[in-house]
Amino acid sequence: MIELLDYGFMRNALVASLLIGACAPLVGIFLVQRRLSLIGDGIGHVALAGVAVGLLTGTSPVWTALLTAAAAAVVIELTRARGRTGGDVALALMFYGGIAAGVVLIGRSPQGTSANLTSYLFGSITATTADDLIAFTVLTVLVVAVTVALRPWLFAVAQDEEYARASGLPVLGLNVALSVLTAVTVVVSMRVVGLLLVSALMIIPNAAAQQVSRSFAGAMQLAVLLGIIASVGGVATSFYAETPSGGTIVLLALALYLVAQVGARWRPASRHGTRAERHTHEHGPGCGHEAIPHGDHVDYLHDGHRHAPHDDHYDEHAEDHRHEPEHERGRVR
Amino acid sequence: MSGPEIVLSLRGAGFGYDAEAIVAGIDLDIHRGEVVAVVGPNGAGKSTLVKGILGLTEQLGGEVRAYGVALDDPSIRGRIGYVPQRHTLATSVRATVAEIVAIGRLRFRPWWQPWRRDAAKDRQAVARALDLVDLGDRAGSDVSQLSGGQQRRVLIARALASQPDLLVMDEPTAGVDQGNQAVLGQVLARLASAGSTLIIVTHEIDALADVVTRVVVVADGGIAFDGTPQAYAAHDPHGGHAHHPGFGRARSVTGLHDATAGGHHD
Repeated sequence: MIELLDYGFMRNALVASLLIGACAPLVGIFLVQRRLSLIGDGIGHVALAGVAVGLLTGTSPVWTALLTAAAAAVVIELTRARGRTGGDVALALMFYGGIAAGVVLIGRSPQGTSANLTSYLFGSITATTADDLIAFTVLTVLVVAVTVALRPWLFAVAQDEEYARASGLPVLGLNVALSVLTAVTVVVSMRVVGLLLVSALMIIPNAAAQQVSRSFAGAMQLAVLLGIIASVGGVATSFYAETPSGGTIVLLALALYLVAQVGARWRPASRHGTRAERHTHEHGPGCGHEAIPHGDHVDYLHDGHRHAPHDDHYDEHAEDHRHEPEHERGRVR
Repeated sequence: MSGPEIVLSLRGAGFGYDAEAIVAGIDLDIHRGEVVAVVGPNGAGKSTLVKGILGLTEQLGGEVRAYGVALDDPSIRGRIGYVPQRHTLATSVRATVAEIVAIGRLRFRPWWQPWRRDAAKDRQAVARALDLVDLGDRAGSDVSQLSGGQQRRVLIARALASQPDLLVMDEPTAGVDQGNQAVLGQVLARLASAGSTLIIVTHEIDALADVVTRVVVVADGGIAFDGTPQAYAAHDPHGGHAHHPGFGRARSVTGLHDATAGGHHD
């Protein structure tokens, strides 16, 4: 670990990965909720054109990419809001136009080596400069602050857009805000993860957290934690294993997803625990609820259904099944 | 029709989509404490009408005022609660019942000042709303694990948490099994006896017979009947609405839904 931190570029890359590991899933959960898991990918495509403009004109690619991606984000939301047929195709034209223009223009630019192009597309641990890091830190703090502040509204709109509109919430404004937050996240992540893999870091930690969490707040926190583990762990791994950082981060995130999925299946106690309602009431002899002997234990009749003590919580037990997973309020997937 | 305060007033109002009116020339006054059932055949414009009241469909002509304020004034939005017609609340991410119901509280929290909130009051209102729909013990449950009928009650609780002056419900009982329909009936009765003003779009007026104080029939893009439930029943000896085109269809639709809900109609 000491060796890792001896290199300035690694320190930059590790700090950048910590920032994006936290930021990407935080924004991504709303994209998952709105079923827009692939929108980050599209914005990444367009951002490459912005990178190319930066390289051609000799300005910082971060800022030109940021402007291009943010403009694309606004156009995407306005196109979606109009809801016309052909909107889907219009977005595709924009995304492919963006990446094609980016590849061509970078090829024409003085720094247009294929190594440079690859590092923008797939990320690189040596790519983050000290100047980049300052910009990334400022942008990430901004994105996290705005996302956390707007969380209840973003949640409301993604949960039920029609209700949000009926309650007078500024639905279009919030959707544009989320889209721009996504664009900024994409640009902040492009150095370490790469424009083609950014979206994965926004989505996969959330997919993993959804396996084990029950509440929105809990899933969001867990996704941020998993994002940081994947991102920082991926950068460190790519240093030792000499692998490209973006792909390493995404593979690590996928591994975490698999662990979460297996974990969710192999924890029967928690599966039951999610089923029985939480209550402060302690069932026991003479607790006022009717006691029904049930196999090797006693169930307590609670509002017409049975509760069985199980460690620190109560399982829901059906009339004629014992520890049968799919009964009563069976989980609909 | 004098007496209690007029909370909602429509004069020659029309609503529709893409500048095409689906209902037109609607005159309607809703008074405080009324429980209005809006019935009518499918496609006649019931939902278009109530969504117009909610600002979800385009207003095409006429005048609509709620509490004396024109509908496009954003200050009025929060005062009108909405229970949409929806079979599930689950999205592709998890959320607890309490998290969903808390959305109703956003009306009291300006988004440009997110730190301004009374968290204790919000929690209290969410708990009270859940108690009102008999889901007090499910606050921490993942909403996707609730039955369809329970999810409907969560929708109602979300609207109640916003403490609306007028509550608009789109088919709150459709597709709900009889047990849950009875619970929903009780919930609505509780709201009505507390003096709430309710507008309920429904196919199952019989399930709400004890609660409803007024029936409005929407047919062919206009109001075909407006009166007491007694007058409606007298007007309607099981489908005998020959002089109202579309009314026979109304009853046949009602009959269909009653049949799926338990078949006590012929």
